[in-house]
Amino acid sequence: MRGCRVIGCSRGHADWSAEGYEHVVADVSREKAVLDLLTHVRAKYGRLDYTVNNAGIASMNHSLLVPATTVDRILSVNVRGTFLVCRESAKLMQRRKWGRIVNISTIAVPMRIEGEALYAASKGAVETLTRVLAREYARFGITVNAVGPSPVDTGMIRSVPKNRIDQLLRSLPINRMGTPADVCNVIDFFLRKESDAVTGQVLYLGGA
Amino acid sequence: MKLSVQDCEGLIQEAYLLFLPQGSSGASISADTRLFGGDSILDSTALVSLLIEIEQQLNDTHHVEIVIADDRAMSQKRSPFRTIGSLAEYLAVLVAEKSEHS
Repeated sequence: MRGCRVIGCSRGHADWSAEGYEHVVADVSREKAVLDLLTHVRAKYGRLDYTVNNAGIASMNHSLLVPATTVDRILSVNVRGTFLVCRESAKLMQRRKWGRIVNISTIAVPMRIEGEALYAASKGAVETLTRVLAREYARFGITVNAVGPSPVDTGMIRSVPKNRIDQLLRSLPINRMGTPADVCNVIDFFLRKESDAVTGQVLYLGGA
Repeated sequence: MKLSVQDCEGLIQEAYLLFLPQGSSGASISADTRLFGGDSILDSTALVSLLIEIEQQLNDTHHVEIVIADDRAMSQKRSPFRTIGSLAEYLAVLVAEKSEHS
């Protein structure tokens, strides 16, 4: 999607800038931070057309070695954060009876990847949220969909051993690493105005 | 920032008018007007939109950031969303508490 004004957020300040991009410091797992973020968007721009929920954290480890605090942290960002941003985005979008929300899932959900129990479970919850919110928000003209990328070379998988990634890729029909462009392609499709009959869908990349 | 119950009632009544079904008159709106159940003329979507509108009006005009459907509201035996009057009372409490904490 080109030509949009983009407001992004993360827990820290951005060490880069781009034309048309505004960075806001916000932890999406905190309700107050999400309220402040959307209040800012409403006050400054008066509208919100698209939301992409891509904040997420993971902890790749055998489930027998996962501490409870890690469980809380993953669920807090991936599930609570996604829910709060969806809820507050929809409140703003419903004013104009139009909006698009895209959540980020993962192929770890359908592939049941060992070592990613909590991450996959949290994204499974994101997929269910996507499907239920799609029904609830349809009456406000808002679609809600999700994309499940194959492994993309980001900080999130940097700690995963290469042989594990290779093994995963070999099990996929499209056995190359995913790219940001692959993900953008699907997001663009969900955001298109012509996609107003597409909602509650989860689209996996790589053939998972 | 403090808002009286009457202030809140006025704000709710104003917002309520935006969500009346076509052909309905706002002439008989009062504190006793039902928001859901009973003889309410709002459907569930209109009620949700009404609550969001009130949150946004509070934010726009009084710079108060609240979530009306909070844990306390949802767990009360008698829902504060029954009537315009009960919602106004709840809203006044929320705004007062918010002011104390900010």
